[in-house]
Amino acid sequence: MDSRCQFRPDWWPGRLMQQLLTNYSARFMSSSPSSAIYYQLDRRVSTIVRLITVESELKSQQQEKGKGEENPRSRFGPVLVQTELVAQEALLWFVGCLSKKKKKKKKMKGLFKSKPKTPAEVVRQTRDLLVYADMNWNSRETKREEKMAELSKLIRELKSILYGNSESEPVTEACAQLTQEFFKENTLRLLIICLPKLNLEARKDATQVVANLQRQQVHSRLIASDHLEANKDLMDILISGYENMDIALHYGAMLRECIRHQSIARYVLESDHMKKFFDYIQLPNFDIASDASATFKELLTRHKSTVAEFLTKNYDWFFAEFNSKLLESPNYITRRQAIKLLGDMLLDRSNSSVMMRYVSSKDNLRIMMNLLRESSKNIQIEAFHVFKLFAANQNKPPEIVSILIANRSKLLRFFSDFKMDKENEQFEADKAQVIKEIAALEPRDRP
Amino acid sequence: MGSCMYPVERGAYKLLSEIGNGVSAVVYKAQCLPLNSTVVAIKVIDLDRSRPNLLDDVRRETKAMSLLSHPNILTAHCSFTVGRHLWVVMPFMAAGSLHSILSSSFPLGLPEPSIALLLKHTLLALHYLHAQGLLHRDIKASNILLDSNGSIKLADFGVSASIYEPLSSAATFSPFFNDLVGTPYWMAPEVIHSHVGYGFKADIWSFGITALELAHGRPPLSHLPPSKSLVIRITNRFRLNHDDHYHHHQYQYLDDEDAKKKNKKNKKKFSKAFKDMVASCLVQDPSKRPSAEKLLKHPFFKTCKSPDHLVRHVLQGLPIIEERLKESPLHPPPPSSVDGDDDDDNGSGEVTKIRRISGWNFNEDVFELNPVFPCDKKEDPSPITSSFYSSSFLEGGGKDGDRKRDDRVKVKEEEKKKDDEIHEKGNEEEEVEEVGLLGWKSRTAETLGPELISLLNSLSLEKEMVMNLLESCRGEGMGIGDWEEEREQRLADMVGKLQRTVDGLTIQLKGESAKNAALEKELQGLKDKNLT
Repeated sequence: MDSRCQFRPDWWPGRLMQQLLTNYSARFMSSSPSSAIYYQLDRRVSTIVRLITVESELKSQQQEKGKGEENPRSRFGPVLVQTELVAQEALLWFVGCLSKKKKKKKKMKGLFKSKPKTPAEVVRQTRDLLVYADMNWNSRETKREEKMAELSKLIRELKSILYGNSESEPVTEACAQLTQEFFKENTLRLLIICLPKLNLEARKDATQVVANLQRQQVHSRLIASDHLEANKDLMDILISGYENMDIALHYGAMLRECIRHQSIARYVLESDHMKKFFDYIQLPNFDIASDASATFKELLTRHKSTVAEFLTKNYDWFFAEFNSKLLESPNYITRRQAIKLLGDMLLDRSNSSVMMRYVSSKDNLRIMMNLLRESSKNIQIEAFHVFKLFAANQNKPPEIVSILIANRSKLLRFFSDFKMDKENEQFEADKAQVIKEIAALEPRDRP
Repeated sequence: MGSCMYPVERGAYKLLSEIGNGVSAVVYKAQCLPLNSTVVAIKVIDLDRSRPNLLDDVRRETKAMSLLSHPNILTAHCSFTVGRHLWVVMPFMAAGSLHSILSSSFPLGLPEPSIALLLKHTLLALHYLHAQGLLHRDIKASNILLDSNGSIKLADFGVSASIYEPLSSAATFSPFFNDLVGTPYWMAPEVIHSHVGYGFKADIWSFGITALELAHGRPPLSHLPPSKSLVIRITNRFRLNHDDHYHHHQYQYLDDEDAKKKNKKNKKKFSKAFKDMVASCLVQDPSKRPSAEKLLKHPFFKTCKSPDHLVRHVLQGLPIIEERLKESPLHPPPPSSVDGDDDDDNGSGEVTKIRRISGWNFNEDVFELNPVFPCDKKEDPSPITSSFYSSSFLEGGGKDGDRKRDDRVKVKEEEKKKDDEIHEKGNEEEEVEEVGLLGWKSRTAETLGPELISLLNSLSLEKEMVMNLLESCRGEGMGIGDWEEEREQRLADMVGKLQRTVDGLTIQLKGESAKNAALEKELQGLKDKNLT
């Protein structure tokens, strides 16, 4: 709205008007939650006029006191009558500038140095433009392009406030202001919804802004967490992004930042979306699939207690899917990532009860033994880290024991040649332990 | 993204010929059958042959490639897995890399107008990357690709890093990186001294080195094995400062090169603007190097020609890329061979990306100009990074004869044998040890002890040399005055710093020997137990 500089500076009511509108427009803009600006304007006209009148009276009183000074305000009296007209004109301009071409602004910039926008103002302007983008997607081409360019600029501005730029480091106070204003209303939702309408650069900026906001503290509170908690359906939108190649990487990155909040991670874990991840991980596009698996891994490893709770509650379906869709997938990369993740999950202390359950199943053992036979060393080694848990289990169910005994000689032969590329003491120790366990096995039913 | 139109299945592509080759990746020229047999380049990365965190590197690279959009940056059409391999489908850059162009047709360097043009477009790409918060971290001629129409693209984001996406679990947002990445000749001092962390200016240094590479056909110091170039770079600052009452900053490089060229009866004159531009990139202090944006405004880039210029002056008559690849194993010297589109193992993240160049004899003159300090082993003065060092050293060991296309090598068992051979050939004084990052950590105290001692020795040697230098400065600098004092102060600081490092290492050594003793005791105890 730099074009508030529209007024001729030498004409003082112009200046007054400009000042008023500057002050007023901020409030005006922020109080309109949607693109209802245009509709509300009518109602606001009278308010503005009243404000101007009051302001003018105040000024004139002041002027009475300081009579005789050479002041442009001495012309105030005669013009007072015209104020209302001026106000009308100003409003017309105001409406006009909402849809004015950018080039005009540029011309006017020289006349008035517009004050730098506060972070909150940048957020509000962004929000208004997002509302516009959301609602007026079918409006005139040129006009829309202009708005979108403006929007991209604002998002970049948000980013440089949050991350700093080549000249300056981010300022804590500015970040806090921005964060507060951002989460005051539905800016996050608008930004997420409008992301597909932005160009590539703006999308990347928006993603980084959203990512950064998740970590911003205001009064030592992560208000992003509170906001997301009240808007959990945003997660649904972000997750569905994996079905759209164009935005998958952006939504994916935002999603991973959002699930840094434990309550949000819990929501996603417990939602039906969890099942979809098994498919997303195997999408043909490598970059999207690996983004999905990074998110999947984050969900299943980041918040220990939540993960343990989730795995305990959902053990049956989760591991059935995990085994059949991931560990037994025909896709090499899926198997490799899955077996690594399984090891990470089971070896985590907080998941010990889940681990015990897992290593008591002969089907799981069968899968592990098959993975040990893989030609890929990476998979073999990761599978070994899970297999060793089966062997080390001091309460092996009889069926596990009998499988191990049945394959004892093969297993021992296998382990004698099984080495890591680089020497690794821990690995060797684990291996020795496993060999010892297997060698010492006695069938349970024959005491 | 534009990737939507390219199919993500193997069957849609027909591989035509190999155009580049690295340790765990091969680049093919291929056709995309459903798209009117459009010619593309496909980088096939073996996902199983590498360190465990390769996947993260690959993910970062493909992500970077699919989220970038700039005329001077090579982006991927799409990527998908085929068995254990990742196929990255990219535009085919028919003229190949600048490195392969240099080695096949311009072994002594390109003419200046072409250099200006090439560098300008590279700089535009760099400016875009930096504005995106990305570091390229491996700028060099083999990563700058040309198409037959003269368009220039920067490639290979295998080791790039983003300030917005912390590399590891590091929760804090920091525009500095501490892992040693890149290829020695192009590496900036602060990358080598990586304990101080480095930012965008490291790319500017590499850019400066690349400028020299284009001017002379190879990077400065490339007659030395890569590890050596690191050592010299580290010690270099003294020498350069020492000489610079005569020459501002590091014209030295250019002059060294010029001197050499004269020896080879091949005089080459470069404009003042060019020298000035390169010198500004090669200032030791990163904060004094210009940003990419600022560098673009340098007069050197003012008079750039259009890409046609390249077509007429550089690309004309160039052997086609496949031929260059075929020829190169037979051809001895000029810098290694074809890199094709993207030759390297792009997974080789933190530990190494070492370029194997050799075949240059040690030139006595050069020796004088670039003194190699006679120590058994040089390490970074910083104890923190010493582990990186030993690993890069070993592979950097230079390799005679074998001028295969694999410019860069990773820490791998298989390499060990070759490396051993090399050292038997008397390749310098470096003590070679196969120590990976992990290897270092898990290494027993026994081997650590001697190594630390030799490290300590080399450091004290270095200190001695600095002292000597300091003295000689004092001796000859009498009349020169103001710069003299400053230099002395700086050298004194340096000595102090080195002293502290030595002290730190001594303490560490003591700690290690104590640990060693304890471990031995424990071992003994265990043995006893076993016996009983």
